[in-house]
Amino acid sequence: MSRHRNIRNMCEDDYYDYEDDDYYDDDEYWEEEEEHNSNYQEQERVRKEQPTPNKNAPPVSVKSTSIAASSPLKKEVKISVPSSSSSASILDKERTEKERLVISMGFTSDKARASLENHGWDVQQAINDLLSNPEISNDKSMTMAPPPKFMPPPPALGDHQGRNATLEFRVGTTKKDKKIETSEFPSVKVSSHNTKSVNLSGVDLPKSSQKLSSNASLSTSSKVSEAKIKTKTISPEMKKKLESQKSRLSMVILGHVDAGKSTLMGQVLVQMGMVQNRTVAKYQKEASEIGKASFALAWIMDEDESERERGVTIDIATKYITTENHDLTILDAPGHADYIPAMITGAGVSDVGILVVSSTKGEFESGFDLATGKGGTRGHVGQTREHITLAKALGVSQLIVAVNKLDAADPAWSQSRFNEIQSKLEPFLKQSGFNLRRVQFVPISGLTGINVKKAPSKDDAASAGLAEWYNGKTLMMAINSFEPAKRNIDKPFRFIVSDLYPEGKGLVVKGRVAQGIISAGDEVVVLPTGDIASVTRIDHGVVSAKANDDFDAERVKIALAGDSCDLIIGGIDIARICTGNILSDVPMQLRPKLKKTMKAQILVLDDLSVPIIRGSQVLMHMHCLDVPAVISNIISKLNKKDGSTIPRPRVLTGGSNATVQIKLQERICLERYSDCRSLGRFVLRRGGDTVAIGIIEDLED
Amino acid sequence: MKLLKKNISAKDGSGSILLRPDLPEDLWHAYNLLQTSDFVRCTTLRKVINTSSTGSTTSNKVRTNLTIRVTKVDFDPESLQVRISGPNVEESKHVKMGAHHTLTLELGRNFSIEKECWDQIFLDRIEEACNPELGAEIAAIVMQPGLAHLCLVTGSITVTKAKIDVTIPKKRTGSTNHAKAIIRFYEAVYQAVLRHVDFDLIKCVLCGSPGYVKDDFYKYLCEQSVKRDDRKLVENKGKFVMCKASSGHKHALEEVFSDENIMAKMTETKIAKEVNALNRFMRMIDTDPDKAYYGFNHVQQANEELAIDTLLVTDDLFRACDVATRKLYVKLVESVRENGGVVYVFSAMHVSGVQLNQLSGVAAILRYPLPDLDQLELDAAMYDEGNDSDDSSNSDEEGVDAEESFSRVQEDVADMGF
Repeated sequence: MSRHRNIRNMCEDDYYDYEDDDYYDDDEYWEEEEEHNSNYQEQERVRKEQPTPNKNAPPVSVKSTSIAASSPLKKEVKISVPSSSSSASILDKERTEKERLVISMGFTSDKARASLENHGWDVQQAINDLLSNPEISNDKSMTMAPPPKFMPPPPALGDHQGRNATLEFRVGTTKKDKKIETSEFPSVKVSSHNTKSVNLSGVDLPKSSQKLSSNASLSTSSKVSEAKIKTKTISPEMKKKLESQKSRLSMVILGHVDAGKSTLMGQVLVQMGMVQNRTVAKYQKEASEIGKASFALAWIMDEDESERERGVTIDIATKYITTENHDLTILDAPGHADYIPAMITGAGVSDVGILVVSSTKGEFESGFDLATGKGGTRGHVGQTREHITLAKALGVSQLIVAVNKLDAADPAWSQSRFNEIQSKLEPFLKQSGFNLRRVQFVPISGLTGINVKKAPSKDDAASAGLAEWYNGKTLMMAINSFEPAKRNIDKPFRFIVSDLYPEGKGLVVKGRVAQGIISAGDEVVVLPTGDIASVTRIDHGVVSAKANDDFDAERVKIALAGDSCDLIIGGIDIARICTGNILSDVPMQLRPKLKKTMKAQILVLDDLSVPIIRGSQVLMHMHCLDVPAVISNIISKLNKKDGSTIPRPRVLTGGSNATVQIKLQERICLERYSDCRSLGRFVLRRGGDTVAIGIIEDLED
Repeated sequence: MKLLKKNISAKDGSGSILLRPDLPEDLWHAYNLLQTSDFVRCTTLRKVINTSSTGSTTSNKVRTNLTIRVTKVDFDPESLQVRISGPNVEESKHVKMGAHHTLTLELGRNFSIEKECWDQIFLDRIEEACNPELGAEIAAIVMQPGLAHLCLVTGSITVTKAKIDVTIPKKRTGSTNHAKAIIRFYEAVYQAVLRHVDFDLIKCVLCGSPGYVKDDFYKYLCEQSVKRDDRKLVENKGKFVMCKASSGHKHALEEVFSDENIMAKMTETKIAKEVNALNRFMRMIDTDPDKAYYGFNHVQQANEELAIDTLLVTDDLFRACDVATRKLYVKLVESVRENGGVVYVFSAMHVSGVQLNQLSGVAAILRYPLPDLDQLELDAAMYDEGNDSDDSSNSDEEGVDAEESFSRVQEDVADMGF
């Protein structure tokens, strides 16, 4: 079980009772909750009164689709056909239906019949066969059957389409949705119910299909339907269009403490016009009042009182910016060694990063060089180094190194200092696994904003020193030149919860779609508790506000892999969900596994103070979780000289690459790295130091 | 613990002792003294059903003295209770011979244990239990934002008194949820301290956390205790000691006790010694792996070479139900002592003991390097495999799996930049 939010008092008394009562602090929340409940009951009543057309209707797609479409409520219509029947007359009838179904997909009756016969009257296979045959596909466009009313156009073949797919047409909540979905973006959902069901509640798909099938005296096997459950996908047109749109990226800001991360991001937000001048002026006044004038820009990110007081970032701050090519979610990580766990939560959900290094004398060195503690013992590593390693291990593949404070270097805007830093960092970046082609070095001054958005000019006294030798990209240009990241849209839905709070009628869950797709109205399961919740709305932050065409309007209704967004969910208590939980598709086989033990490949970091032996106690960090774990077995170690494996080594020293078994203290969602990258990679830490990075190879019981 | 009577034969070590537990910790010692097939005599409550001449039954609880032959011993680390079950072996007015009974050891009530053999480890344990001044009672709190553990640490046990787990929302513009949640978290820890820490007994409260959590908490505690007039806290503010810990998980306590400043203040406590020895072992494995070994086979081999300087072993191993296993370890300990080595018997209730347990429970720092032990272990492994064919086949499969998966993930690894 995951950590629960409640206090677990080890003694018999529960002193926390009264705390629960004022948990939400505001009575308003409860009032709204009641209102919501009554609304919900009303909706339920309407649903029940709704005629259930599927029960007695013949399994013809057209009719049920139109009925469902006219329903004012959101629902999904699943079309499919019984697979077998003993009665001959029923068989005939069935075959006719199947043929009609295939024809309705836009194929000629000859082809439909032939294909059906070839596949033993299995509609799914037949359609797939027809779809996957390009010749026939071409053919179909010419011989398309007249589309029945409300019948979406034939879906084009997507590479994601499963082998045994029936097609499901989603009907939106509003008229506008319907129009868009049915005409412009037929969202094809590969599903697989052998029965035709109007899934009103959608609570438990296999069960409901079973129940309905018995009512309608259709033979079905829930087993078969379960085996065929497929992930939700989007149409190829949509996909294509997405590619031509701005890509979503999450960008984490890394670097040693006091390198100027928050100030730089404050500067970026100001220059992008995301912060009002009034606010900046206010911060400047307040900051200088407490003698921290230079921290004014950082206050844009560091909104917490204790952060401002101490002048350090403590927790991740999330902001949004938009460039020509990208919509970026900015995660400003803390640089202090004690707050590496917070940095991990940020880097764990990011695609790209900005590494801020200070170029002033001594500051760069203390952040990057291996620190030696008292008496020659190895001390803490500078965070520049640790952040680079962690970022790469957690999936950040493109990096901008912002060489900050170059105006304060000696001499100001020194090219040799810039080159020195670049030459020192490059070997380490390469060693950490970064492709140097995807690493850009940009000299900047975060405090003054030189070379952040506006290129330095020789006419300007402050930036003339830089303009003399630098004519490369500004920081914003460099950010704009990030390549779009690859997204696993076709894989089962996974959403990592990084933050949550009650709002109005529901619960706002902040986080990131690790893979898959979700749209408003879908049901999700919260793991590890296993509670079912429904997504009532998706909020893309500032991106939602600027929907200027139909496509954008459509885009903000769904969340795709890689999106950092807020899901507003209902039907679940806030106490049943917490940070680090995973939201996933409801069907059992699409859920990630809850496991305690795994086989993993780890890379032990070079600067290890105490080696890893069997039984070492570590803290495993992955995405937003930290769980105590034990290296329960060292299975083998890679011999670096000849690439062979050494079985059962006694000890793992710095730099080892090994396969180990790890036992966690509690069950959490784990997946093989090959199945889901975000849930398959982790960092092992011990006593405040990062000891290893790793990926999950296999799960064990 | 008070040793009231000791009647142990010098010849074969058999005999009985009479003890009275005074502190909760003594129950842990008692638990460590008990083995199956011992005889325990103790006062206990027994539900007795009387049938009257008319056939009606009445049941009442009777306090009586019983002697049972131990078949099972349970220890509940949270409530600190020892439950001993077994058949009655003494004729009694209320309980038949052979009737099953479960005793619970109680503070302040005498109990006697009779054994066939009292070995040195048992005697050491009694010695330790009867000299509680060796232990110091302290409270320790480890915290990270949203998670805290409050533990009481005495000479030989660490008890988790409260685990506080609060979800803290992230900071957001125009929202006070974050600040409120932080206050709620500190309040919960504050209440836990108030409830569980008895300042009359406890010498200090160690507060460990990454970053500023501990300082913020201490500030909160000082402010609130004055505001609410919690005399206990106001008067004992000075007992709070700030130290470093990397997380709020329980095992971070080990870091608290490794802190040099803390160590200097409590060098004589058992936990400090244990943590120190364990750290020494870990450092040795790093600097000179040929001088540090763990696992019974290795340590045993090293002992045969008379190479052991310091032996670290957890008391878990001595509680093994299997008498032969226990004898093996007792022999090891006695032999190391004979050869001039130092033996630390770790308490499995301490975090250091938990960690040592994960390292197979036994470890040794050697006087001189023994680079050949790996070879010896291979022999031992072969011996093991010869004994247990199932095990050997499993390990073979594992080897194959490992190789396969190595090639399988090579691509991914390359991608990750390994």
